[in-house]
Amino acid sequence: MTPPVAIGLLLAVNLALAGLVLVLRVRNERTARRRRAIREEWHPLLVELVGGDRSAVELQGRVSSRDTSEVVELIAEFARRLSGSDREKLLELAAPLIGAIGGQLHSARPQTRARAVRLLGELAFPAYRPEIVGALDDPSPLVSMLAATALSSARAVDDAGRLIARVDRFSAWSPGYLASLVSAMGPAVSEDARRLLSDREAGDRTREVAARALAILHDGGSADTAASVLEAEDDEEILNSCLRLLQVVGSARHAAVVRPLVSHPAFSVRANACTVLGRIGNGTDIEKLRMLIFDESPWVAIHAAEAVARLGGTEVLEDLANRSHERATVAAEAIEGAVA
Amino acid sequence: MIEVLLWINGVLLVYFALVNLGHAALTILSFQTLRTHLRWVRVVDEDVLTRSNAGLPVTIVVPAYNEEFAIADTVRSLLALSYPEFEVIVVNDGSTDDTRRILTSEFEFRPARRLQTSDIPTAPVRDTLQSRLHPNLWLLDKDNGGKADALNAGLNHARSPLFCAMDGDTVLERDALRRVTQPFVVDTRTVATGGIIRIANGTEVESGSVEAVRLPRSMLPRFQVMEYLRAFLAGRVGWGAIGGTLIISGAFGAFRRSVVCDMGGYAVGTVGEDMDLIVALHEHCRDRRIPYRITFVPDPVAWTEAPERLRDLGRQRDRWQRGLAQVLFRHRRMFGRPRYGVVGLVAFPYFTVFELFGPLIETIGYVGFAASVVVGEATIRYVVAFLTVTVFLGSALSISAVALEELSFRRYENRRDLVVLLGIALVESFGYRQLNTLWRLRGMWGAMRGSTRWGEMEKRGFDPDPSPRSQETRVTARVG
Repeated sequence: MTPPVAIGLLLAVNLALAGLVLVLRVRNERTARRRRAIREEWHPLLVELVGGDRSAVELQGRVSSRDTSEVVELIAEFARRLSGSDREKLLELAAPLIGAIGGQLHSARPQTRARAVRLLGELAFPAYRPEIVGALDDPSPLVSMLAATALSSARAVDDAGRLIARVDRFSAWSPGYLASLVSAMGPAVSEDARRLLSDREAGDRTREVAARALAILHDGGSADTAASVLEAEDDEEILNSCLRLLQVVGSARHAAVVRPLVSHPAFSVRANACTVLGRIGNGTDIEKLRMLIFDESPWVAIHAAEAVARLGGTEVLEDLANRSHERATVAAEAIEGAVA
Repeated sequence: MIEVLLWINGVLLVYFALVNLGHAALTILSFQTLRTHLRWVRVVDEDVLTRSNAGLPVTIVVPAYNEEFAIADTVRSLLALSYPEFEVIVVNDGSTDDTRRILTSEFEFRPARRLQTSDIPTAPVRDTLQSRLHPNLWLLDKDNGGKADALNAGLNHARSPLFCAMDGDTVLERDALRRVTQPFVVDTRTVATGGIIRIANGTEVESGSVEAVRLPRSMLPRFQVMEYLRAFLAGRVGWGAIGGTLIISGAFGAFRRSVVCDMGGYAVGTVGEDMDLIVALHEHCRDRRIPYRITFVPDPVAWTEAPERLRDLGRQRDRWQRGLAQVLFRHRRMFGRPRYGVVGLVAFPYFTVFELFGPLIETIGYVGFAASVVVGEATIRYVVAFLTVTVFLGSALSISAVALEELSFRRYENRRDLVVLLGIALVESFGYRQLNTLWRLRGMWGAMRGSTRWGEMEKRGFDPDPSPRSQETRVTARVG
């Protein structure tokens, strides 16, 4: 290739790219204008629908096929913020509009399937319940996760077992997120979660998520289950999640199971055990907790000092705070925290 | 002599072809990655991944050295973040200006005690203070020890599973923390994530929040806007897609605290502490066979102040080049080794040849061409043709970066700004690029001499009214 040809070619590439940028800008501006116009038209209409000034049937006739996708998104946005009869009105409006979306559940593109699962979960549950439950086994983990989210948001208690049983499928996800999904279904999932927590055949991750979900739900009935798991298990994460559960729902009678764990080799278990003892222990635990303020792990020291403060050991902390050693700081911090 | 010149010209042509191929490949990768990412963002409800029980607590560490003009805005932007649970630790690294006084008067700090959770050695911390107005805001006042040392001091006091490192002259968008921490929720193997840094000069920042995005008025920061678009949208997105991320900007990144503490924190004594941390994370996790992920997320945005003066920009680029050299040298055992995967086999050689030695090769090329013309081995016409091809290839890559911006985030809504950006793509090759080469050469020389000088930069801070008159007033006020 001669230099003039190469230069000409590159000049053409530059002009084509610059042209592409400008075309993209024009297209983006046009799309933004169209979306703005749809919102400006439909926002007041949806307010009137919810307020009872218009009927769903009346509005359905105003949706042009070109605008359906945007209008459905706007309805979903409104529906997320509303509940009860207001939300029902929106679902009634959406019903004939989402027929086409059901077909997208079988799209080859995972993003399209994911959008369909989200919208059907938000606007057409329980009509599309079997499809959404089926999407729990979608090859794309994100589609599957959106199906789980849809079931969770819809409080599909009957499907709670199916959801929890698939927790292992989302093994990479944060257990906190998974627990929030499960617990969002409400107290009706507690029984399933308790069963899984005590089932040694269930995966460690599943049991951890179950314990976390029970803690979020403040499920008082799971305290004994957690205590018996603490006696029998040695997996660090399961121990920690059960301790967090006892922190919320435990009582004095569970303290005996927790006390040996302040000497566990894992610092996170020691730290959590201190916190639980601070809540369900008694004055006899103060001396042991005071010694743990000098634990090699600063995390254990922080939790132990807070526990001493919670058990009313302010004098012990004041004594430590006034001495000259590196852990005086944590004692003083705990006193300040207790005062605050 | 002539043979040497011919050899130099040959090497230069190969280098030139490879560097452009590399950039083009990264741009194509970035295009694919951005497209997929944006599709997901449109589908997944933004709040879904950060339910109150799922968002991991974050400690934001802000090292500040002589940041009197921007620090209050930075802290305000942090306090306004939309995130379930976070605390902010500002580390005043022995500032000689009014940084501490401004922070104290704005946020009413009082002495408080706080136990360290790790023992990374740092310069002495003189005072630990907590804000009366915002209990989640802390100030560590310490002797000067450099940015890495200040970050380590903050890390020693952090109490969250994640920590976010950022600069004292950077403003985060409200949902930036939520977005940058999402990979930690989606994949528990994630140890580090980074977001996009954009140039704040020209934008309107009101009470720590970006109100209107515009291009800077002066040319120097405009060139930097283009560089940042290229580096982040066409570079880091692409590297992230193949697991070859070697740098997460010190201006904004999130990390798993326990892993960074296990490694001993940031390396002190380097001016490339942000890059060093990422390379060290790769090395640490690969050596110990710890499953890990380092992710670049293209939409969380941090706005930072860019140098407005040639001298300041030169110092910055000199420092970046020295940092690059130090990091690549410190971790040279990773070079070309399969056990370090894409990082060892692709990213390290790429950064060494094209980023570290690039300025030297380019300079030799310029000299070689001039000499070839003098000795009659190359015609002026040939040289001009070659340089024209270089300019057009460079501008094609820059325009591609603008296209990626237009395809994805479209922050510059003003049509005029878009046209100006296209113009910059063409003119940056005349002078600005050569200046950069010169500064980076100086940086290489400094690295060989072992310089760890940071270099100061004149700061203006964020201005709610970026009109020239307003800026003039602020600069005068500073000088006065």
